Amino acid sequence: MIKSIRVLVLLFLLPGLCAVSFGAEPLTIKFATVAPEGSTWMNTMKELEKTIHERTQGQIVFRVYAGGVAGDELDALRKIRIGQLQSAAFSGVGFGQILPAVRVLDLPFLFRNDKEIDMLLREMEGFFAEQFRQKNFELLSWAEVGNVHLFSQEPIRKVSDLAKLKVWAWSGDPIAKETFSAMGTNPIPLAITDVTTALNTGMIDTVYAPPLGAIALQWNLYVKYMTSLPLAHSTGAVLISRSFAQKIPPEYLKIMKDEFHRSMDRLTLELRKQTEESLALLEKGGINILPMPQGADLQEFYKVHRQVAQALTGKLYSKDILDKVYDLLKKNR
Amino acid sequence: MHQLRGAVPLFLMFSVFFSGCMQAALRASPSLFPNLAASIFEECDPELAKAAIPSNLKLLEGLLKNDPQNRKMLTTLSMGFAGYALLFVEPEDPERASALYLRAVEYGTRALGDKGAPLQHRDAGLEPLREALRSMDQSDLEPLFWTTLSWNAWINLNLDKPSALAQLSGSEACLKRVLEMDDHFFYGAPHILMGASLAARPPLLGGNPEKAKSHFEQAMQQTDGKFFLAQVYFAKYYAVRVQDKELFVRTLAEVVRGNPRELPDVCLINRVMQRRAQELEKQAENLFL
Repeated sequence: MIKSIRVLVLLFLLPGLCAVSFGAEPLTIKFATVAPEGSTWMNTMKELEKTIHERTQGQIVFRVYAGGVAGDELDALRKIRIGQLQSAAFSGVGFGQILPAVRVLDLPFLFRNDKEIDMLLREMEGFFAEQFRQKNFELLSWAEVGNVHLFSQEPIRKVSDLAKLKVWAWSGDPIAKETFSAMGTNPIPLAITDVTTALNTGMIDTVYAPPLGAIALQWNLYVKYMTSLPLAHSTGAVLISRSFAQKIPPEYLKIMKDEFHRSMDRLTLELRKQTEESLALLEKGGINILPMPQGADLQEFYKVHRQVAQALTGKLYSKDILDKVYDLLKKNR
Repeated sequence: MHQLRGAVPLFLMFSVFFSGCMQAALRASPSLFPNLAASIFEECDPELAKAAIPSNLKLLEGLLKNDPQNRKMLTTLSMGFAGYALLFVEPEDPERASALYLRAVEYGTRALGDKGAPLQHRDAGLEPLREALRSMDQSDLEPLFWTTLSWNAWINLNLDKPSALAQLSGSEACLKRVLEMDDHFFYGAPHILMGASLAARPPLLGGNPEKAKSHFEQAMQQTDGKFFLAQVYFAKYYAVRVQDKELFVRTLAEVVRGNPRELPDVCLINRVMQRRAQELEKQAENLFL
């Protein structure tokens, strides 16, 4: 009798035990970013990690590899493909390998203001999320890198000013190459790690970066001018391997996406505020911030946009995608 | 012995109330403040040191009011605040450590006198600072070192502020000057700081793992591995940067096994580094892919 009760108890308990032990096995997501520990990016990521952990009852754990210890974007991509990592923050460099079409958003002189950027990213998110899915990635959220400006030894007030400058282009970036060619100069392709030395030796005298990036890289020490007109807006995104994402219960994946969106929106606002601060610091440090070009001079820059956008159609993105971008901008401009 | 040393400043303080010649008394005992600092770094019991340092620093700050330009006192205060923040505050309370490092910078720059002025206006541009650094000699080394260490540490704790990032070039210039003046200072600490700075940043942001390694190796050679700060930073920054888990584990194990008293002058730092090594060992899983 006692024995059979024991068996009964065991029978009732076992399924329960199994369910608990299966449910208690958390999924660890190894995530890589080049943002260093203590930066605004990483602070956001830490809060996010905590919120997701709590909201999924500890079932989703992020293990963050900060400061580029997992390598650069291309290393992170390789590591995701072999399953060593599951997720990372990417920008143009990584997109070029994963989904070149998304780089339509990085075209030069595309946007007129931040509102346009936010609108376009919002409107096109569903479309690009599907495209990423076909490349075995799930888009967790856009993550802004920011407006990229030109920094130079001589003032750039109009397109023709570029011709006499020695301009750096990130090696392997088709947009940079095409843009500077359209501006009448032959850019010097270099890896980003070689830029400071090249500025120091005078091999180049013109670079491009977000203002905060220029400060962090200390490129501001080698130049005198910055353009107010952004060269381009650089878009980033947090991606997760799709084959891994399929193992995540859908309700948890939804929580992750919601939380990433919320945090990245906040981060974007914070980074924009930091850009303002950076501009003040650059000016204080002796950088002359050139006023926005007007009239015909401004139109020349927009002409460069059209040339580049056309030249890269069929190479990076289809005409359909470019038209979609233009439609959305036109409707909201 | 330590209690005796602690009693000396107290005696001095009282003597002033009676004689009113505090300044003269302070200046008549030039080795008092360096000895005070030395007694702290020699302390092999971290708990005792942790409890003793704040009151000593407050006492020094009180004494300083009577002789505000006293270089030795200013330098000792810079060293004291830097050491206390680094050893006892930063891991638990980075925000508080950040404020203490700034205090160390303030005292250090004051100790440097006129040459320290560009360091008080740290975002004013690089040229005045470079010029001041060029004019410094061996007598400036000690305050410059503690200022540099604290400035670097403050920047690292404030990477979310553009104004801190803008100061990177200045603090780097100081570190280069320290290294150039005496790379053996404080058991090769200039090499340790340079190694950490080059290993903590990704190559994208100016880091260079190869150069970092060479700095760490020089520091470790200088003391034959007896100053554990070098190994702990080597593991924490270099081994993690190059993702060499075996090197990380081996280096930290050496520290944990080592005898902190082999370098009696810095027994305190060695003891704290042994604890830190144990904490780092536990984090290995999170630091390596």
